[in-house]
Amino acid sequence: MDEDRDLVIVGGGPAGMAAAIEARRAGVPRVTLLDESTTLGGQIFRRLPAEFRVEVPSAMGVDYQKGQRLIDATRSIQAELLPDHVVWGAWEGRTKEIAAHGAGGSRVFSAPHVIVATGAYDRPVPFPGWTLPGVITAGGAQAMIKVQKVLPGKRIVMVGSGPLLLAFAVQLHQLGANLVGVFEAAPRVSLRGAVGLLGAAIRGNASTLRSGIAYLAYLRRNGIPVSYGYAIARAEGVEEVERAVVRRVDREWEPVAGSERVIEADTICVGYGFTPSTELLRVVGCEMRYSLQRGGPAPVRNGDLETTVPGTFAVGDCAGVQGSEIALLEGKIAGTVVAGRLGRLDRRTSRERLEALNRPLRTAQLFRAAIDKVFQIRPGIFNWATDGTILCRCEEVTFGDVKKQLEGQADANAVKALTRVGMGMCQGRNCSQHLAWVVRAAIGGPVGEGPLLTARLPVKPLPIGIIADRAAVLPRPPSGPSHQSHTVTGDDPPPVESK
Amino acid sequence: MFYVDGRATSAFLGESIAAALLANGVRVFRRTPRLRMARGLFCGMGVCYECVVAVEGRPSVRACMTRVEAEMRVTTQPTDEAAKE
Amino acid sequence: MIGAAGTGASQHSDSDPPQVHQVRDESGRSMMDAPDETDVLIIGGGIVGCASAYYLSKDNVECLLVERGEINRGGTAASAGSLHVQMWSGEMRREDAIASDFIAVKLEAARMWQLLEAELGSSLGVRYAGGLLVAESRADVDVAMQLVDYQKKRGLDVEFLGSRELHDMAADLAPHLLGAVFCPMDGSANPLLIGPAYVRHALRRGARVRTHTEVVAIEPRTGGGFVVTTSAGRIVANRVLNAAGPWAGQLAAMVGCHLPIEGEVLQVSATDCHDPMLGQLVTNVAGGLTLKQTSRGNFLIGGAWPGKRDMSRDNSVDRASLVGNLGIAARIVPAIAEMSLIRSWTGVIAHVGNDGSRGLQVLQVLGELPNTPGYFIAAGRALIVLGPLFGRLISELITGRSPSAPIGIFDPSRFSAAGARA
Repeated sequence: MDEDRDLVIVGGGPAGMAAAIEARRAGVPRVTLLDESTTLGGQIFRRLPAEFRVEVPSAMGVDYQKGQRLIDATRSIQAELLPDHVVWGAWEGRTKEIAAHGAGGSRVFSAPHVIVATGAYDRPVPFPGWTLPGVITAGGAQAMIKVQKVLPGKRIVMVGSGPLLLAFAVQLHQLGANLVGVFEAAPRVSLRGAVGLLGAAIRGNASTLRSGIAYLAYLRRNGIPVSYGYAIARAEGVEEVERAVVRRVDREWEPVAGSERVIEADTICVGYGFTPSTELLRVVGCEMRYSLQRGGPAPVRNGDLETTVPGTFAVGDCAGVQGSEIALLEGKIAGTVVAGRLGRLDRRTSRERLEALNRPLRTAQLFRAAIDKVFQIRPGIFNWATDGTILCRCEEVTFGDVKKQLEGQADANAVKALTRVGMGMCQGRNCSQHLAWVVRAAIGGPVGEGPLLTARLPVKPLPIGIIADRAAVLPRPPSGPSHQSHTVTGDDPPPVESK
Repeated sequence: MFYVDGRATSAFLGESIAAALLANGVRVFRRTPRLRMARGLFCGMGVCYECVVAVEGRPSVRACMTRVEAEMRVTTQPTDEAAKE
Repeated sequence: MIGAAGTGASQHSDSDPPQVHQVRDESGRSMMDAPDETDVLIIGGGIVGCASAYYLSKDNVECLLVERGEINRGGTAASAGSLHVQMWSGEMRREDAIASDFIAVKLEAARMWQLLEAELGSSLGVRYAGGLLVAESRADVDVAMQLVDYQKKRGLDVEFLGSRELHDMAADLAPHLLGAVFCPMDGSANPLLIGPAYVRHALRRGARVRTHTEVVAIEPRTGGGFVVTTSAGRIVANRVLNAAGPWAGQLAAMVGCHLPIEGEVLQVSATDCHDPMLGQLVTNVAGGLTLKQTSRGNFLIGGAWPGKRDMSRDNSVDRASLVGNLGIAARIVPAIAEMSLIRSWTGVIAHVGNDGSRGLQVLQVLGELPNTPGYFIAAGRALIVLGPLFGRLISELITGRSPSAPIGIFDPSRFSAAGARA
């Protein structure tokens, strides 16, 4: 079969690329890497469109160049690289099948090993007015400004939390944005937090710490106010954003009454972390564990980064948002493990390489944990929406609509059935975590632990014409007990009456 | 040059439809079917399906993931009727 | 909107969902507690079980419904919601006496559906724009003509539409279609709304409902009645109603009755939403397609294509079935090729084994088990359209009234071993 492979990697960001490089380095023969975008790089190493010329590469920043080196390396290893391919289906078994469509239709790849590196996306945060044009995620703003060279608006307010917030604010301003305010939900970095960071910094991550201070200084110099302990209250406007209303929040991110400030703005850039893209993992039955700090549900993995589905690995942000350093290391680890499983590395070499990777991984994880401790997502974020706020953007269902259906229902899927939440084009990506919280809050129990909407095929919406076989006829029913009773002579098609 | 709701609109070769629309001051990409809410670019990376427009009559195309091509006809009010024009 | 909670945000009546009041009972009953008691224990919370609870409680019969999962999340929820009245070609091979009765039952079921939203006071997404059984070839047309003749003779209002009339009625159908059998009584409903609507009313009239309660054993008592062991304690019941859909065979085996009803995995697909373009329920003579556009605008595509049986988890969608099912849909409504598939799911429906009849057999079972008095069954295939009627008929049977439709054709004793105890 010409679509048989030794390894299929889904996702061409840092984790996926690192896995490909490592697997090929060890001699794994048929490696295919699939990515939805036109260029490799994922989100953090997003490339400019091919037609844009990069005149001064160094002006693009350290990340961009790092990304370019990684992409160049990936292109040199003779793996089958398939950008512009959307993975829509996966089937488990001793041999796994991955269906993806791109130019030239739909293809199904078979391999004994799959590495899922689907990354993460901006955490959707419902608040009143969040659906107005002008409310944009930090990632979306970054895509527009860094990649497309277009400012998303004329007066931009940034709301969010985390180490990326200030970095991104600086970047936005440097690229010409009119930034009128930055609102960080966390309190000013506490002394204890700073010491923790300092400790981790000593292990070789000092650059991040220095940058944080530098960013603040930059913003101050340029007259951009930074407020701590403030979060978005609502977006106001008729057809588009006209005003951003922010308010103080306490340490748990619960709103503080009477603290609202109104800011004239046409764009609200929202950055409260990321959520792992786990649909593919859930469709094949990987066991998940919920972690608010890691962004949401994440697959349970063993030391080899293998999920509970044997032969299926998860690396990078899709396994819990931990940033690109960890993504790179995890990709390398999984690539090495797969090479070992395929007999391309002897046991000793494999062990040595894995040890050599696990050491920096542990260090990076420690640093990440320190960062996460200082910049925690607090559960109050789930109380920013009111009953009138849209929960399911696609199907236009409000929180109030859902709460009415919650009497006696413990099951997000039952609520979906009754309210249509999660039945739209985004397939629950914008709403399922919040839905799980709302359901859980209604019936009690640890918040955030509620079951998510069941992930189904297709993993991404699939244009039907690509796979439909217009010459199809209903196949003869299999002989045997299953269908005998529906025919007498066996010559007729089974009942059309489907359920 | 491409067409947005029939209007000739300038764009850079290779940029996304979303970027071209924003650059030309268009931020409302569609209205929702039931409540007619204005929607536009949200996630910018192909996940949220808010930025969908009709391209050459085909509805539900993500503007942030699709590159502008010369003479492309884009409709920002994509009822299927409008898309067929 | 009578009875439906105003949501403020919804403007279209069929998007107002019915409220579900407490479907959770106080849990925490253990095996050690004194058994609960009921007059009629209904096993299964799909459309038939929920309808039965409604009609029984309406007839002042005390009943308790137990469901091992959540109400209306089994086979009923997975269905595409087709309300077929017109026949497919194989049905012409039913024995005559059975055929007439079956048609009468179907007609009564369809009539009930037309009044159901008013009776329950809530939207069920019912649409009655008729159904088209389309012919793609001359051979199909021949069969279609036979079907028209056959059904008209037996009191079903159908007609053959030639190509022009067909395309006048539904312009989005493919140009190559040569005609269709049109039945004005065909329609569709939203199967997700039915169970909760019935249960809401049943609870108000005193019925009880326990979810997450799985029946493990059923022991007839000397002197009458049953002791039923569940995952949440024991229940003593005068009568038991097996409304467990695909699992009805397993529940019948618990009283030593062999009823060849097992599960079969089918799959259904949903597209994204589009402006209204198709009002009718569309099926095809050659088989493999049921197609409808919901009031929300999605297309639901089904047609008896098998899903993949996967015992380790929820059954999974079969790729070959998907490709074939979508293929027929796109062939018959070309615009579908431009649409996006948003989700495909599998559901388990009842497969009914051989009942020894000549000709095409009836695929539903309704009645009292002959050797197990007090044990009733209402189960089988294609029970969305028949479900409400089955609920009513069961209540009539249990309360000793003469049934309002000819139920002899559904008698469980026709399964040769059905009457025999193990």
